Amino acid sequence: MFEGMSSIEMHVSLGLILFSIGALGVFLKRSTLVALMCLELMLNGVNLVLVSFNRFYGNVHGYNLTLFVILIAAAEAAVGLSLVVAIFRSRGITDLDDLRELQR
Amino acid sequence: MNEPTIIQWILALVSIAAALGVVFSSNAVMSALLLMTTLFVTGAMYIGLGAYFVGAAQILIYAGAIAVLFVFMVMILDLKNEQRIFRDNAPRAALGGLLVLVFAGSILISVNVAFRGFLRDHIKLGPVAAEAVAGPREISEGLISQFMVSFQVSNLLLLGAVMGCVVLARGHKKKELPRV
Amino acid sequence: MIWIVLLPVLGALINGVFLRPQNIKVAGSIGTAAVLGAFLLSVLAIAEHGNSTLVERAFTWIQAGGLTVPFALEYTPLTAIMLLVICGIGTLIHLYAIGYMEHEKSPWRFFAYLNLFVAAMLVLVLSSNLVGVFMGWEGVGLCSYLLIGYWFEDRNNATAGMKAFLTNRVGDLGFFIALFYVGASVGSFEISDIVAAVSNSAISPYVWTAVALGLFWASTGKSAQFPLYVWLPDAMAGPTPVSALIHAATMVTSGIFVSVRLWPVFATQPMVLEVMMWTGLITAWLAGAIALYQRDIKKVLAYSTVSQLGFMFFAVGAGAPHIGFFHVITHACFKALLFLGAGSVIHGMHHEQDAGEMGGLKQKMPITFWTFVLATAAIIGFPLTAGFFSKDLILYYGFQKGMLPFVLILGAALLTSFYMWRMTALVFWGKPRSQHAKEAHESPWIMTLPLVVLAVLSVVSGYIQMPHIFHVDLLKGWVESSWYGVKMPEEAHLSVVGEVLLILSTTSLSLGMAFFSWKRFRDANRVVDPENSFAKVLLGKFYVDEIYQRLIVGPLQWTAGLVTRLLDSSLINGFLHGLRDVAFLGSGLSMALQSGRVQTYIGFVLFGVVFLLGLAVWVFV
Repeated sequence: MFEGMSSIEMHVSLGLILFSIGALGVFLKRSTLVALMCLELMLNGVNLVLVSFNRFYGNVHGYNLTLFVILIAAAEAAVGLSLVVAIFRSRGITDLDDLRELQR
Repeated sequence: MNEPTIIQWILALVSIAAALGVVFSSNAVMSALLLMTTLFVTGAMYIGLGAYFVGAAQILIYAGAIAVLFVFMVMILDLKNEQRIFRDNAPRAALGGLLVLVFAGSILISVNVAFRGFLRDHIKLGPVAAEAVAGPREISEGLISQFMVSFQVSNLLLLGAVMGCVVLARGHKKKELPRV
Repeated sequence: MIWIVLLPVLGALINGVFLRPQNIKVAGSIGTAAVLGAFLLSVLAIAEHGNSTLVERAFTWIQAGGLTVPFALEYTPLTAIMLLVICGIGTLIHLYAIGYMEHEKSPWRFFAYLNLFVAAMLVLVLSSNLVGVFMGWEGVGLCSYLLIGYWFEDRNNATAGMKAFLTNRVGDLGFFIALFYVGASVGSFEISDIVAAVSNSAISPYVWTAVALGLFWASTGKSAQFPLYVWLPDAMAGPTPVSALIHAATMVTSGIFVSVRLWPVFATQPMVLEVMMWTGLITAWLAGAIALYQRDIKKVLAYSTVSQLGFMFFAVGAGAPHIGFFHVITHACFKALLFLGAGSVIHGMHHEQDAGEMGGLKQKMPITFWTFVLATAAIIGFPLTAGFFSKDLILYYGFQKGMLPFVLILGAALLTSFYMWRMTALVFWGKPRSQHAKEAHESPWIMTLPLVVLAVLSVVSGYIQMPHIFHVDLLKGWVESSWYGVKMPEEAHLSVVGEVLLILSTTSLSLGMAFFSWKRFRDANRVVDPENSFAKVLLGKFYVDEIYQRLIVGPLQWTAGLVTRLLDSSLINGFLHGLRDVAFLGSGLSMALQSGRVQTYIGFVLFGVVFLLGLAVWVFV
């Protein structure tokens, strides 16, 4: 399987793997903070895929898109973390299992 | 360059290991630091792929700001050690693992198939594109011309994010964080 | 003609649904007017139709397959006489009830029920087909339940009502069987068609046996013969006007009426007739014996009714349906009079019913006294009263049937003499035995007027059919012309001498017994319950009720309990609990979906992605 594997293929697969690991983490971890970290992992994986595919093209659109993703990830991380801080302040816990306001 | 070099393999493995460490570590600080590692290594991979600007941006912003922010958070919130996943809730872990495996596996296989199949002819890359192709100039040109709208909107987004963070972080009278 | 039925229905509706007057005079007037109107219409109908038969169709009621049942009313002379009896005596009783029920809280309910009863009875009598008769049959059953249990706050009354209805129901099974056979064999339920089909040789005679037996069994229930008579004494729990109307004059005579109306069917079944005759005899004796020791006025009259009904069935079974019907008419008059008189006594005694507490009322309530005495004379067959003629003819036909039936029926008649005079003497003669008796007063005119009218009728109504020596055969002629051409066979006659001898001997025996009873009881100071065991059995009504309870009712209730536990508790309840558990399960699962935790939702997204992926793969590969 690994013979004749081009670099592109390997990087794409790697991005996918990183994405999957991140997805697993988001689903399974109890701490909000760590879940957010895994979220970043997922975005990172997507970025990798974008970057590696851009080799096929004569333009840099993929890189631009990647930059946007990084930017948005940064904004999202910031807001998310302040949310965590706010929750922690009012409740004292950040366990995802205990944050069940939406439950019926 | 069609074959991944050995360095790329190593970098790949390291990033995978670090990612697994993020997920399976019981210590939040360790998770944060390993996240930083992953992001850093990914940035290295970008550079290895010839995306110099993006790689730099990744290391600067992602690994250097976001991951650091995470580390700060972990320190501030002083979380207790997280329990091991599998011991805690095995059915959920099994379900998640299964789903992820299925997902990843299927895509991997199809990627494999695609690359060996119809994409083979398309994979003839020239040498790493000259820096001129992937340098800051080209990217900025793209930003200003083609992605102008997105650029401006993302500015707004950042503004909104900043305001949101300020509002959220203001909180109530008491300034000191309660001990968990 | 349909207005004869509709008027009481209207009265019931106005009283019961629309107006609901609280004033008894208003409610009573509406009720009485309705029945009086029906009476007048009946008279008009007789004037118009006389001796013929006539069917008047209202609408088609059931139409299923090849079976058509219309709602149609039929006029026959037989029906006409019944109409007069029902509406006439009904009017008098309604009038009487206005006085008797003066303290009633909701008079509209009472009069509505009474009117409803009259309407149902009219439907029973007037219907041209057997299904309509059955409707009326059920209707009077229902109304008797409503009226017996009228004062339902007292549990005993409600139970008595239920007993009446249930016992009737057992009898109705017979009616159903008869209906089924008729429907299957004759194809139509019209009585004229049924009578015509009797001579149809294509129909097996066993069909007619079944029909006759079925109808007789139903009559056993409705007309209180052995073994289904047990409800009637208990039915005395209802107000006295109710007892008078339902249990003396009308409802209980429905059985006889049906037998006479469908006589052509019965005429072909000598076995059923034998059964009928002997059942009548047994009932007459049984009830008469029980009546000997009763203390309650109304109970005595109740058993007397059962006994007299036995006489009627005896007559029909002996091959003389017109005589049975004759006794229906005369009995209606004097029994209603007896009941209303008893009601008057009860009313004057402030609702005391035990004869042991009465006495010496003849000075205090003269009108009631004289009418009551007249009625008693009629029931024992005092010469020249109506009862004399009807009872005498019954004895005559009994004699023709054979020595044994004759002696037995004569014995029953003597019992009647004895217990009736015992009751009369205890109530009216002697010295007052209680405070209530001392203070008793006569009833108001609204109650005594019907008494007087009925007294007159008790004498006059006998003259329509008299022993053969006088050759007055009016009733027989009328009844016969109701049978669509079927005629009664010629009968053997006794000689004139024989007949006179018969009359004289039976009458003197009866009078002698009456005198003996009167002598014994007129100065009684106390009424004691008997000591010796034979009398105790009589007082205990031969313990028939208790036997029924043990043999039938008890096991039924036990079985019902068993079924309830088995089927209802385990099966049905279990099924329902199972449903509940399933519902809870489902809702539990659904609740898990809404856990409120982000990660659950992420999980769903993941799952969705995988699912879609799989779908794509499956589609494209």
